[in-house]
Amino acid sequence: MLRVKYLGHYSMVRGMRVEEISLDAPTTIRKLLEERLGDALDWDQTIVLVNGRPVSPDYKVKDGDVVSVMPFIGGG
Amino acid sequence: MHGWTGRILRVDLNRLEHSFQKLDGDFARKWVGGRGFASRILWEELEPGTDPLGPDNELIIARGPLTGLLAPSSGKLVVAAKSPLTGGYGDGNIGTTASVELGKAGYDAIIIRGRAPRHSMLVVEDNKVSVEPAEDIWGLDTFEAERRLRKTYGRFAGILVIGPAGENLVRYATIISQEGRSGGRPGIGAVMGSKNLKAVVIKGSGEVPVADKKELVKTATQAFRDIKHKPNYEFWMRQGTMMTVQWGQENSVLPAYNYSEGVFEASESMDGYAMERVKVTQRGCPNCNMTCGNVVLDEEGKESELDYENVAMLGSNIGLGDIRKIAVLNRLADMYGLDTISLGNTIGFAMEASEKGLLEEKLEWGDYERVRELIGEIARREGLGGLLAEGTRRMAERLGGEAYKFAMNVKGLETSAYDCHATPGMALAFATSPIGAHHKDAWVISWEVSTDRLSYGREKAAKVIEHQRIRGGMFESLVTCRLPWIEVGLDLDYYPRLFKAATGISMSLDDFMALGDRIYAQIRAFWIREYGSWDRRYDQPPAKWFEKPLTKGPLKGAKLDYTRYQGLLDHYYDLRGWDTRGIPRRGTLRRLGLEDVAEELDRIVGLSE
Repeated sequence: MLRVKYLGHYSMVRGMRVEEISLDAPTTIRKLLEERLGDALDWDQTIVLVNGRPVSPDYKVKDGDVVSVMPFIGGG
Repeated sequence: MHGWTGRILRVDLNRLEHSFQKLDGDFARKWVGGRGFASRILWEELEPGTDPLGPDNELIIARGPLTGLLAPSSGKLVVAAKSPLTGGYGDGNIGTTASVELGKAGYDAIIIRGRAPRHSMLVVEDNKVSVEPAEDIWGLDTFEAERRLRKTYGRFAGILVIGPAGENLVRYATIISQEGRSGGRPGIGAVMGSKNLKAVVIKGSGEVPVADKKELVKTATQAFRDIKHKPNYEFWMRQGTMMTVQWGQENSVLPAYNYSEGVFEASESMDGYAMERVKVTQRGCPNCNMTCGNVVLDEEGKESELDYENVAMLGSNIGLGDIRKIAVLNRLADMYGLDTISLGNTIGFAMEASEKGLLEEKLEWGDYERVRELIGEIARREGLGGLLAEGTRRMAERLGGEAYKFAMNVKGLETSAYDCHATPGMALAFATSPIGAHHKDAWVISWEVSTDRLSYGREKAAKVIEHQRIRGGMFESLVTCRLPWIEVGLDLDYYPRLFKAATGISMSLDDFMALGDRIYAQIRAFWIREYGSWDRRYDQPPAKWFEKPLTKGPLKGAKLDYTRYQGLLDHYYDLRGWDTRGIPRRGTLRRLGLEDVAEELDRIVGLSE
């Protein structure tokens, strides 16, 4: 089981803040998120963390991972 | 002159006199407005060593050539003075109708000098300027004082007030407007209090002349529309900066327990979603279509306007995770006229000092009831509050020993709400901010955590400078809000176009970047002249981030590396054309058109070639 946390407007795009996903086959962050966020996903303005640490879109997710996907923000 | 009103109002409170000064065209083009004006005027007019709380300090209230015009989020103004907290240059930015009224009344800036013989307020109605008695509102909190003034001057008057904190010269007292808009972190409210000035009321009936109104309307309309169509606009309107709580928690930069940690166990009860559950309305500045003031009902059933900084500083940083209680503390800070960032820092510092046995009084993490009382004691300078009113640098000096190691400030100004154990670039941004550790000039964390966040490469110094030029240079001089660009991604190219339409003058983005460099060199020169010497020790982040690693979260064990940080700072100085002491080189000052600054600095510290 994999947990994906959607932050900011990605929670609105996906219609949920947290999603639990059963992995049938190994997949990359890129594929996982593009399938779920579609065109709304802007890689240049997005940070993806796995278990609290940044990863590249080619990272292969595995059972037990917690993925957090969030937009760049400005910090006021 | 277009975009500018072409006039400055000077007020001498010693003599209760005022005069109108023509704004010089060359000066306006060279310094643009807001911070640009303030930094240059303070350099030209203050004697070195001026007591920041004495009559000779100048309080400057300044607009820029886009302020109050039809342009995205243009309802902002800059307040500046020599800072009683840092002893260097200090300024802040407030979103208020006073910014619009200032232009309509026909002024680009008000420069206030002297000290009124009794409690007073300044009333500016177009060409009519008077200093009026303010005995009946002296001592009132900022909300009540403003409500009383509105009865006399009407709901559209621009009003800036100080609270008891400013009156009692708390070193991080701010100026407040519209019951919750706060600006001037480095004690600009205390400067106002030292002048016996409770309020400034501004009403204008004119219009700021613009060069090409049709073009301004067209460009601004496009920009407003772009903002509304940005992908994150809808979510921004729900949570505004409050989304940063969850974001900061995920990225281990949410300050907790006086910046000992970057994650907080109760973050979910103080984040943007928790805020949404108690949100009752939303407030904004004039001319803004992405309003960020989230108003909630606090624990006591009263309205409190929240944003990220005050929630993190009066929440996780002092070990408190209840949004409605945090909202009470925030409201009290606004009513007393205290900067919430420095307030959360001084309280966090006191809690850590208490834990270490350095304070007589026991002050527990998250002790809401005690903190609630303490905020009033700070504003009135009573008991322990008198110590906290001094800010963390002076608190650490008084407590002695190792206390300086957990005093979270740079140059005396407390750090904003980002833990930097694992973000060297953001630590550099705090360390080189021109007013002390503030986030407004350069906020590089988003970019930094998406790259190699623990690295110290030259590109990080370059990124900090890029932000400082845009945020601290361009936006602070135009004066408009940076959030349309930084938060929802409005194209920066709009700003030279808006500037051209307003003033008739062509300035490219590169020209604005050069303006940023000029302002940075000018402000740095002010600090050097005030301190009488300069070296890199003033550009260091707080010691804690180097010495005590994170003990929780995914980045457990992380801390800054002192030697590598010095390398990063060297890159920064080099890219700026400053020497290894952090002093602008002679050629840099010449290139920026600051020959007179070079001459004066050379006499004080000897300039490098």
